Amino acid sequence: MFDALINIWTDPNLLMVMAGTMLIGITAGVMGSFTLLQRKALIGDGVAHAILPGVVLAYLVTGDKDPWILFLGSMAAGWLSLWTMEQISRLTKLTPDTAVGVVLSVFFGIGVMLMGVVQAQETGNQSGLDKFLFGQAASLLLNNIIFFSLVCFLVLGFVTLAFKELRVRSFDPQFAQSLGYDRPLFRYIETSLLVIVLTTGLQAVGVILMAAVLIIPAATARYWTDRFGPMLVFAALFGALAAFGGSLVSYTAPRMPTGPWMVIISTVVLFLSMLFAPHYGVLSTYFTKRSQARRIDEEHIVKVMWILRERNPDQHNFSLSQISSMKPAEPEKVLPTILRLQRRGWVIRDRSQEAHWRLSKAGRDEARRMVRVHRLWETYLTQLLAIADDHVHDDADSMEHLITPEIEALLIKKLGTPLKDPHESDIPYDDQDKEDEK
Amino acid sequence: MSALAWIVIVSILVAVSCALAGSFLQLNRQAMMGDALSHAVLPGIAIAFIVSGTRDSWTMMPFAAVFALFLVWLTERIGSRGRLREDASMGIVFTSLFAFGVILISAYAGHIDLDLDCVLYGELVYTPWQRFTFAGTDIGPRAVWLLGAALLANTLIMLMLRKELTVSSFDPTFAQVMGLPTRKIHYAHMTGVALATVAAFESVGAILVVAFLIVPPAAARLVSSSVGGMLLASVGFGVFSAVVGLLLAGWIDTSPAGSMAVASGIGFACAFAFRVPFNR
Repeated sequence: MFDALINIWTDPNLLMVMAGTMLIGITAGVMGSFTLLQRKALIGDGVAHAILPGVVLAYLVTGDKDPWILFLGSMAAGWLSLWTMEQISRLTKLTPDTAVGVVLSVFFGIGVMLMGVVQAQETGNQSGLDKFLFGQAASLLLNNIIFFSLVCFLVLGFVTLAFKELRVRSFDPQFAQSLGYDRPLFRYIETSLLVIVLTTGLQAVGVILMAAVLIIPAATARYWTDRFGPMLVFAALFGALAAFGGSLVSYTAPRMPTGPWMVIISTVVLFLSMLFAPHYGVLSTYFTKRSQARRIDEEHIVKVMWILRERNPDQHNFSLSQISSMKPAEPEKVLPTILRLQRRGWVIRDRSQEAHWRLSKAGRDEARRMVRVHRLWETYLTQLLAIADDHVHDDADSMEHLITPEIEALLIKKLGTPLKDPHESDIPYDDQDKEDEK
Repeated sequence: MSALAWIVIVSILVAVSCALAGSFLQLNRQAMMGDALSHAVLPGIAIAFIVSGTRDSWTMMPFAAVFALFLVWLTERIGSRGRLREDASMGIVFTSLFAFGVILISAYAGHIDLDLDCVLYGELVYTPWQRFTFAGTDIGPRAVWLLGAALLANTLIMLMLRKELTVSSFDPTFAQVMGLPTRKIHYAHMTGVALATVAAFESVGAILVVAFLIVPPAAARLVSSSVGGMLLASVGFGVFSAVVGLLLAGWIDTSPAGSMAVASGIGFACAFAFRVPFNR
């Protein structure tokens, strides 16, 4: 068992495939971050397909399968396709993704047509269209690895040099233009690098899945960070991870293709990130939303208890039904919220009666703040925005949770410390209720 | 009827049903959905093969349609969470489904006779000989019936929902305010697109389906200024691509699928040259 594990890592075939696909994963992850942020997620799919006629034509014209000639052909076709897409969306009312679709299908059609011509010429030789469509990671050679490393080096070098420009342009193209950060030279280099990365990636994963290798790691990175630099790092890591897993699967189960497994693994990583990532994951947003909803319920309950006290000056403790009758929250949430407040020390349970509570000092402070902010906002709306006083309560009910002490101070200053709200209720500033201290 | 005539009929049926289905994709700003759908149905086709062991299109149809609708649903789910735009989420879902399909086919490669080439390019040339027998009698090529059914479904959807689709593609918010069931309309339309895609897929292959769903409607958009006009022009461009493509393929002796895609490109170039001017 242990020997077998060591043997895997010393097998040159596996290491070759792993190195090659991981280099592709890293470069594609980085370039994919740009296309994703520039809202051109599907452009990679278009260009990858559009490369086919370039490859076939280069072969038809020269009759040579020299990788460099095919590479030049595919570069030319990739560039032409990007130019055509840009012209279509610039000169017509068609959307950019329609432009991608039109160029994709027509260019690929030309490629398939030319393939037919090639096949008619050399009888029975498929001349590697399958390889083009689905890639052949298993046949990567040392030469390929050297070339991939070079591409990776170029991409990383370019990103380091043009980091600031790329960052601004990816998030806000207009702002980048106004700063003079939209230099044509950089755009040409970026486009060329995209075409080069797509061309090299095709050899390992094929046309159709190239789009996935380009955007899935970048999309996964979006769930982990908001910042540009870390996003590139995450995307590169996820790309490398998928390639590592994919080549390991196809090594242990030789019938399994590397490219599709790379894609499946990165999709699994994406879905896990969508569930569990901090801040943007499904779980994290669920808990944030729940705690916000709970806080709002709690604030409503203390506010309601304050108002009950205001209306019944002789009473200190209030029953569950009294509190519920003011509808501070959904009926089934009232009791759990009160119990949470009790644990927090904002309300105190009265020992002499069944299910009665009063506000503690801390609870009263909070309740007074809520009532004050609510009534200040109502006053603001009626006095300064001239809204009818029977229209302001609902708005104040949601604003009271959002107004910060700074805004509150501003309101007090603007309104000149009002003592009554539009409904003639007192606006409470200081704690006048010494009674409850006992 | 001669084999050539059947091939022409099949091509025109594909062109017309894709043109109808693709037009509202175009208006909905979802042109690439055509590309995505034709790739995402691969696992459905593979599973149908594995389960039934036959290449019968009537078995493949429901499996493929399930995956097509799954793509639409999942794309919408991921897109609506706000972190990724809809086009990115579509790109992720369809490539993953395609990868899953390729893996299924590789895993069962020894057991099923499913050739990825025929999935991609179709077998247009053989369609006249794949007959459909009903109650013991031969009633014509299978593809014609399949595509005829898809075309009928799409025509019905267009006839019944034209107004609703028009409103919800030009102004989705207004459609919602009017109380239209926008989601149901969307899914009805997507079912039509899926049917057209799957039916066409088997006879002409994924590549041509993409071309027929995207290019003729895009060309039609350039030369028309009303929805009715666009639908007609789109059908016209579709038929043009089919006929010219077949002629081209016969003339150069090459793949009909590729040639029809190229012919649709010629149609698009003409539309581009004579496009209706627009103001941004």
